[in-house]
Amino acid sequence: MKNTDKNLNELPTGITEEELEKKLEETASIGKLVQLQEDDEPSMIWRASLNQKLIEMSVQSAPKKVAFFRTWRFGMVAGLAAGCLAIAIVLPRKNTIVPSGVSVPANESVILAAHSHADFTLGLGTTDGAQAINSPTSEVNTVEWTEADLTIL
Amino acid sequence: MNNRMNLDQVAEMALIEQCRRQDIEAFGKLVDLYQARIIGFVKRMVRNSEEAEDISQEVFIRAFQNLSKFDGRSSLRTWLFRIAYNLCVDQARKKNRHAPELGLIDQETEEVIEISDPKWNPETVILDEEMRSIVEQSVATLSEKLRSVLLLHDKEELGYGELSEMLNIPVGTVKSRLFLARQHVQRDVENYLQGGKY
Repeated sequence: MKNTDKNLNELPTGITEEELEKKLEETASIGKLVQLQEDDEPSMIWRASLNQKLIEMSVQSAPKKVAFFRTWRFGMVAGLAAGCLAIAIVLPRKNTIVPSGVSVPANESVILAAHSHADFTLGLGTTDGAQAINSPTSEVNTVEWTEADLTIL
Repeated sequence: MNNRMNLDQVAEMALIEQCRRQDIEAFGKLVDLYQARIIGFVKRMVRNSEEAEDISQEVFIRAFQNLSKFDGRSSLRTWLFRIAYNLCVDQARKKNRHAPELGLIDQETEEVIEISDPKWNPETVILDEEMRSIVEQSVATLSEKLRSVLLLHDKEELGYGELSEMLNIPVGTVKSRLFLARQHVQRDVENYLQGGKY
Protein backbone atom coordinates (compact mmCIF):
# COMPACT_ATOMS: atom_id res chain seq x y z
CA MET A 1 0.00 0.00 0.00
CA LYS A 2 1.48 3.28 -1.11
CA ASN A 3 1.16 6.53 0.74
CA THR A 4 -2.37 7.28 -0.35
CA ASP A 5 -4.10 7.05 3.03
CA LYS A 6 -5.00 10.53 4.22
CA ASN A 7 -4.02 9.46 7.75
CA LEU A 8 -0.50 9.05 6.52
CA ASN A 9 -0.35 12.39 4.74
CA GLU A 10 2.75 13.43 6.59
CA LEU A 11 4.70 10.33 5.76
CA PRO A 12 7.95 10.98 3.96
CA THR A 13 7.64 10.27 0.28
CA GLY A 14 8.14 6.78 -1.02
CA ILE A 15 7.25 4.86 2.13
CA THR A 16 4.31 2.58 2.75
CA GLU A 17 2.45 1.99 5.97
CA GLU A 18 3.98 -1.47 6.31
CA GLU A 19 7.43 -0.06 5.76
CA LEU A 20 6.79 2.59 8.39
CA GLU A 21 5.72 -0.04 10.93
CA LYS A 22 8.88 -1.98 10.13
CA LYS A 23 11.03 1.12 10.57
CA LEU A 24 9.37 1.84 13.92
CA GLU A 25 10.17 -1.69 15.05
CA GLU A 26 13.75 -1.28 13.93
CA THR A 27 14.13 1.93 15.86
CA ALA A 28 12.41 0.66 18.99
CA SER A 29 15.79 0.46 20.71
CA ILE A 30 16.12 4.22 20.35
CA GLY A 31 12.79 4.50 22.14
CA LYS A 32 14.28 2.53 25.00
CA LEU A 33 17.25 4.89 25.16
CA VAL A 34 14.86 7.81 25.39
CA GLN A 35 12.86 6.04 28.07
CA LEU A 36 15.97 5.56 30.18
CA GLN A 37 16.54 9.29 30.40
CA GLU A 38 16.17 10.34 34.00
CA ASP A 39 13.83 12.87 35.50
CA ASP A 40 15.11 14.95 38.37
CA GLU A 41 12.95 15.40 41.43
CA PRO A 42 11.93 19.05 41.81
CA SER A 43 13.49 21.18 44.49
CA MET A 44 11.85 21.74 47.86
CA ILE A 45 11.61 25.43 46.98
CA TRP A 46 9.61 24.62 43.88
CA ARG A 47 7.27 22.37 45.83
CA ALA A 48 6.85 24.87 48.66
CA SER A 49 6.05 27.58 46.15
CA LEU A 50 3.45 25.36 44.47
CA ASN A 51 1.87 24.50 47.83
CA GLN A 52 1.68 28.20 48.70
CA LYS A 53 -0.10 28.96 45.43
CA LEU A 54 -2.55 26.13 45.96
CA ILE A 55 -3.35 27.32 49.48
CA GLU A 56 -3.88 30.87 48.21
CA MET A 57 -6.27 29.52 45.60
CA SER A 58 -8.23 27.63 48.24
CA VAL A 59 -8.44 30.71 50.45
CA GLN A 60 -9.67 32.80 47.55
CA SER A 61 -12.42 30.34 46.81
CA ALA A 62 -13.38 30.00 50.51
CA PRO A 63 -15.01 33.50 51.00
CA LYS A 64 -17.52 32.72 48.25
CA LYS A 65 -18.64 29.69 50.20
CA VAL A 66 -18.81 31.64 53.47
CA ALA A 67 -20.87 34.38 51.84
CA PHE A 68 -23.23 31.78 50.44
CA PHE A 69 -23.70 30.11 53.82
CA ARG A 70 -24.13 33.46 55.56
CA THR A 71 -26.91 34.41 53.16
CA TRP A 72 -28.48 31.00 53.52
CA ARG A 73 -28.25 31.15 57.33
CA PHE A 74 -29.70 34.66 57.49
CA GLY A 75 -32.66 33.53 55.40
CA MET A 76 -33.24 30.56 57.65
CA VAL A 77 -33.13 32.63 60.85
CA ALA A 78 -35.43 35.29 59.38
CA GLY A 79 -37.91 32.62 58.30
CA LEU A 80 -37.83 31.01 61.73
CA ALA A 81 -38.43 34.35 63.46
CA ALA A 82 -41.34 35.15 61.15
CA GLY A 83 -42.84 31.73 61.87
CA CYS A 84 -42.57 32.23 65.64
CA LEU A 85 -44.16 35.67 65.39
CA ALA A 86 -47.05 34.29 63.35
CA ILE A 87 -47.64 31.53 65.90
CA ALA A 88 -47.56 34.03 68.78
CA ILE A 89 -50.10 36.27 67.07
CA VAL A 90 -52.46 33.62 65.79
CA LEU A 91 -52.61 31.30 68.81
CA PRO A 92 -54.67 32.44 71.91
CA ARG A 93 -52.86 33.08 75.18
CA LYS A 94 -52.62 30.18 77.59
CA ASN A 95 -53.51 32.13 80.79
CA THR A 96 -56.92 33.01 79.40
CA ILE A 97 -57.94 29.38 79.37
CA VAL A 98 -59.67 28.17 82.51
CA PRO A 99 -60.35 24.45 82.77
CA SER A 100 -64.02 23.90 83.11
CA GLY A 101 -65.41 22.32 86.30
CA VAL A 102 -62.39 23.16 88.45
CA SER A 103 -62.64 25.69 91.20
CA VAL A 104 -59.52 27.86 91.12
CA PRO A 105 -59.82 29.16 94.66
CA ALA A 106 -60.19 25.64 95.99
CA ASN A 107 -57.07 24.58 94.17
CA GLU A 108 -55.15 27.56 95.38
CA SER A 109 -56.12 26.99 98.97
CA VAL A 110 -55.03 23.36 98.79
CA ILE A 111 -51.71 24.34 97.24
CA LEU A 112 -51.14 27.11 99.80
CA ALA A 113 -51.93 24.82 102.70
CA ALA A 114 -49.56 22.17 101.40
CA HIS A 115 -46.83 24.75 100.85
CA SER A 116 -47.26 26.29 104.32
CA HIS A 117 -47.13 22.91 105.95
CA ALA A 118 -44.02 21.88 104.02
CA ASP A 119 -42.28 25.18 104.69
CA PHE A 120 -43.09 25.04 108.36
CA THR A 121 -41.95 21.45 108.64
CA LEU A 122 -38.65 22.12 106.90
CA GLY A 123 -37.98 25.24 108.94
CA LEU A 124 -38.44 23.54 112.32
CA GLY A 125 -37.24 20.08 111.51
CA THR A 126 -40.41 18.60 112.98
CA THR A 127 -43.85 17.78 111.82
CA ASP A 128 -45.45 18.89 115.12
CA GLY A 129 -46.34 22.47 114.47
CA ALA A 130 -48.24 23.07 117.77
CA GLN A 131 -45.32 21.93 119.91
CA ALA A 132 -42.95 24.23 118.14
CA ILE A 133 -45.17 27.24 118.58
CA ASN A 134 -45.54 26.56 122.30
CA SER A 135 -41.83 26.13 122.95
CA PRO A 136 -40.11 28.82 125.09
CA THR A 137 -37.63 29.81 122.38
CA SER A 138 -40.46 30.76 120.13
CA GLU A 139 -41.67 33.49 122.54
CA VAL A 140 -41.42 36.98 121.15
CA ASN A 141 -40.29 39.71 123.52
CA THR A 142 -42.54 42.67 123.07
CA VAL A 143 -41.99 46.09 124.54
CA GLU A 144 -44.98 48.05 125.58
CA TRP A 145 -45.20 51.64 124.28
CA THR A 146 -45.29 54.31 126.99
CA GLU A 147 -46.79 57.79 126.96
CA ALA A 148 -43.25 59.23 126.81
CA ASP A 149 -42.48 57.29 123.63
CA LEU A 150 -45.58 58.59 122.00
CA THR A 151 -44.77 62.20 122.88
CA ILE A 152 -41.29 61.86 121.39
CA LEU A 153 -42.82 60.68 118.17
CA MET B 1 0.04 -6.80 37.15
CA ASN B 2 -3.41 -5.96 35.84
CA ASN B 3 -4.85 -6.32 39.32
CA ARG B 4 -2.16 -4.02 40.63
CA MET B 5 -2.86 -1.49 37.92
CA ASN B 6 -6.55 -1.68 38.69
CA LEU B 7 -5.85 -1.12 42.34
CA ASP B 8 -3.64 1.81 41.45
CA GLN B 9 -6.38 3.21 39.25
CA VAL B 10 -8.97 2.77 41.97
CA ALA B 11 -6.71 4.48 44.49
CA GLU B 12 -6.06 7.26 42.00
CA MET B 13 -9.77 7.74 41.34
CA ALA B 14 -10.36 7.97 45.10
CA LEU B 15 -7.66 10.62 45.30
CA ILE B 16 -9.23 12.50 42.41
CA GLU B 17 -12.58 12.48 44.19
CA GLN B 18 -10.95 14.00 47.28
CA CYS B 19 -9.19 16.60 45.14
CA ARG B 20 -12.51 17.62 43.59
CA ARG B 21 -13.56 18.69 47.09
CA GLN B 22 -10.57 21.06 47.11
CA ASP B 23 -8.61 18.76 49.41
CA ILE B 24 -5.09 20.15 49.12
CA GLU B 25 -3.53 17.27 51.00
CA ALA B 26 -4.96 14.74 48.56
CA PHE B 27 -3.88 16.88 45.63
CA GLY B 28 -0.37 16.96 47.13
CA LYS B 29 -0.28 13.18 46.78
CA LEU B 30 -1.13 13.47 43.10
CA VAL B 31 1.61 16.06 42.68
CA ASP B 32 4.06 13.67 44.36
CA LEU B 33 3.16 11.00 41.83
CA TYR B 34 3.63 13.08 38.70
CA GLN B 35 5.82 16.08 39.50
CA ALA B 36 9.15 14.60 38.36
CA ARG B 37 7.78 13.36 35.05
CA ILE B 38 5.91 16.55 34.31
CA ILE B 39 8.92 18.74 35.09
CA GLY B 40 11.15 16.41 33.07
CA PHE B 41 8.86 16.62 30.06
CA VAL B 42 8.45 20.40 30.29
CA LYS B 43 12.18 20.97 30.73
CA ARG B 44 12.90 18.97 27.60
CA MET B 45 10.24 20.87 25.71
CA VAL B 46 11.09 24.45 26.67
CA ARG B 47 14.81 23.96 27.34
CA ASN B 48 14.91 26.61 30.03
CA SER B 49 14.91 25.50 33.65
CA GLU B 50 13.25 28.58 35.10
CA GLU B 51 10.50 28.65 32.50
CA ALA B 52 10.06 24.91 32.87
CA GLU B 53 9.55 25.20 36.60
CA ASP B 54 7.00 27.97 36.19
CA ILE B 55 5.13 26.04 33.51
CA SER B 56 5.17 22.87 35.61
CA GLN B 57 3.63 24.75 38.53
CA GLU B 58 1.02 26.12 36.17
CA VAL B 59 0.24 22.56 35.03
CA PHE B 60 -0.65 21.52 38.56
CA ILE B 61 -2.51 24.74 39.34
CA ARG B 62 -4.67 24.31 36.25
CA ALA B 63 -5.21 20.68 37.11
CA PHE B 64 -6.35 21.66 40.61
CA GLN B 65 -8.68 24.31 39.21
CA ASN B 66 -10.16 22.08 36.53
CA LEU B 67 -10.26 18.69 38.18
CA SER B 68 -14.05 18.92 38.29
CA LYS B 69 -13.97 18.90 34.48
CA PHE B 70 -11.82 15.77 34.33
CA ASP B 71 -14.25 13.13 33.07
CA GLY B 72 -11.97 10.10 33.40
CA ARG B 73 -12.16 9.19 29.71
CA SER B 74 -8.40 9.37 29.55
CA SER B 75 -6.03 8.58 32.38
CA LEU B 76 -5.03 11.35 34.74
CA ARG B 77 -1.46 10.97 33.47
CA THR B 78 -2.57 11.62 29.89
CA TRP B 79 -4.69 14.57 31.04
CA LEU B 80 -1.76 16.13 32.92
CA PHE B 81 0.59 15.68 29.96
CA ARG B 82 -2.02 17.27 27.70
CA ILE B 83 -2.11 20.34 29.95
CA ALA B 84 1.69 20.37 30.03
CA TYR B 85 1.94 20.03 26.26
CA ASN B 86 -0.56 22.83 25.65
CA LEU B 87 1.29 25.16 28.02
CA CYS B 88 4.59 24.35 26.30
CA VAL B 89 3.05 25.12 22.92
CA ASP B 90 1.67 28.42 24.26
CA GLN B 91 5.10 29.29 25.61
CA ALA B 92 6.76 28.44 22.29
CA ARG B 93 4.23 30.65 20.45
CA LYS B 94 4.99 33.55 22.77
CA LYS B 95 8.69 33.10 22.15
CA ASN B 96 8.27 32.73 18.41
CA ARG B 97 6.80 36.22 18.30
CA HIS B 98 10.22 37.49 19.29
CA ALA B 99 12.60 34.97 17.80
CA PRO B 100 12.37 32.04 15.38
CA GLU B 101 12.48 28.60 16.95
CA LEU B 102 15.75 26.77 16.70
CA GLY B 103 15.72 23.13 15.80
CA LEU B 104 14.97 20.80 12.98
CA ILE B 105 11.72 22.42 11.96
CA ASP B 106 11.71 21.06 8.43
CA GLN B 107 12.77 17.59 9.38
CA GLU B 108 9.42 16.09 8.41
CA THR B 109 9.76 17.11 4.79
CA GLU B 110 13.15 15.50 4.42
CA GLU B 111 13.61 12.42 2.36
CA VAL B 112 13.88 9.20 4.29
CA ILE B 113 17.44 8.13 4.84
CA GLU B 114 17.92 4.41 4.81
CA ILE B 115 18.88 3.19 8.22
CA SER B 116 21.76 0.79 8.08
CA ASP B 117 21.53 -2.27 10.27
CA PRO B 118 22.68 -1.15 13.66
CA LYS B 119 26.10 -2.48 14.53
CA TRP B 120 25.32 -1.87 18.12
CA ASN B 121 22.51 -2.83 20.37
CA PRO B 122 21.41 0.01 22.68
CA GLU B 123 20.24 -2.51 25.24
CA THR B 124 23.77 -3.75 25.68
CA VAL B 125 25.32 -0.32 25.65
CA ILE B 126 26.01 0.97 29.10
CA LEU B 127 23.97 4.07 29.35
CA ASP B 128 26.56 6.16 31.04
CA GLU B 129 26.28 9.83 31.76
CA GLU B 130 27.89 10.74 28.46
CA MET B 131 25.41 8.66 26.48
CA ARG B 132 22.55 10.18 28.41
CA SER B 133 23.88 13.55 27.57
CA ILE B 134 24.15 12.66 23.86
CA VAL B 135 20.54 11.50 23.81
CA GLU B 136 19.39 14.59 25.71
CA GLN B 137 21.19 16.88 23.32
CA SER B 138 19.88 15.02 20.32
CA VAL B 139 16.31 15.25 21.61
CA ALA B 140 16.82 18.94 22.33
CA THR B 141 17.75 19.64 18.71
CA LEU B 142 14.55 18.11 17.38
CA SER B 143 11.72 20.34 16.26
CA GLU B 144 8.92 20.86 18.76
CA LYS B 145 6.59 18.58 16.77
CA LEU B 146 9.00 15.67 16.63
CA ARG B 147 10.25 16.16 20.16
CA SER B 148 6.79 16.14 21.69
CA VAL B 149 5.84 12.89 19.94
CA LEU B 150 9.12 11.20 20.84
CA LEU B 151 8.92 12.20 24.51
CA LEU B 152 5.25 11.47 24.96
CA HIS B 153 5.41 8.10 23.22
CA ASP B 154 8.81 6.71 24.14
CA LYS B 155 9.43 8.42 27.46
CA GLU B 156 5.92 8.77 28.87
CA GLU B 157 4.48 5.69 27.14
CA LEU B 158 1.38 7.32 25.72
CA GLY B 159 -0.30 5.34 22.93
CA TYR B 160 -0.69 6.36 19.31
CA GLY B 161 -4.41 6.97 19.80
CA GLU B 162 -3.87 9.13 22.86
CA LEU B 163 -1.24 11.17 21.04
CA SER B 164 -3.44 11.51 17.99
CA GLU B 165 -6.21 12.94 20.15
CA MET B 166 -3.91 15.12 22.23
CA LEU B 167 -2.00 16.64 19.34
CA ASN B 168 -5.03 16.68 17.05
CA ILE B 169 -3.23 14.87 14.26
CA PRO B 170 -3.93 11.52 12.54
CA VAL B 171 -2.40 8.34 13.94
CA GLY B 172 -0.31 7.95 10.78
CA THR B 173 1.21 11.37 11.36
CA VAL B 174 2.04 10.40 14.93
CA LYS B 175 3.86 7.34 13.65
CA SER B 176 5.77 9.17 10.96
CA ARG B 177 6.85 11.87 13.40
CA LEU B 178 7.95 9.24 15.85
CA PHE B 179 9.98 7.48 13.20
CA LEU B 180 11.66 10.71 12.06
CA ALA B 181 12.49 11.64 15.64
CA ARG B 182 13.99 8.24 16.41
CA GLN B 183 15.92 8.33 13.16
CA HIS B 184 17.47 11.64 14.16
CA VAL B 185 18.46 10.40 17.60
CA GLN B 186 19.81 7.18 16.15
CA ARG B 187 22.04 9.09 13.77
CA ASP B 188 23.50 11.13 16.63
CA VAL B 189 24.04 8.07 18.81
CA GLU B 190 25.71 6.19 15.97
CA ASN B 191 28.02 9.09 15.33
CA TYR B 192 28.91 9.21 18.99
CA LEU B 193 29.64 5.48 19.14
CA GLN B 194 31.78 5.67 16.01
CA GLY B 195 33.71 8.48 17.63
CA GLY B 196 32.46 10.96 15.11
CA LYS B 197 30.75 14.26 15.36
CA TYR B 198 27.09 14.05 16.25
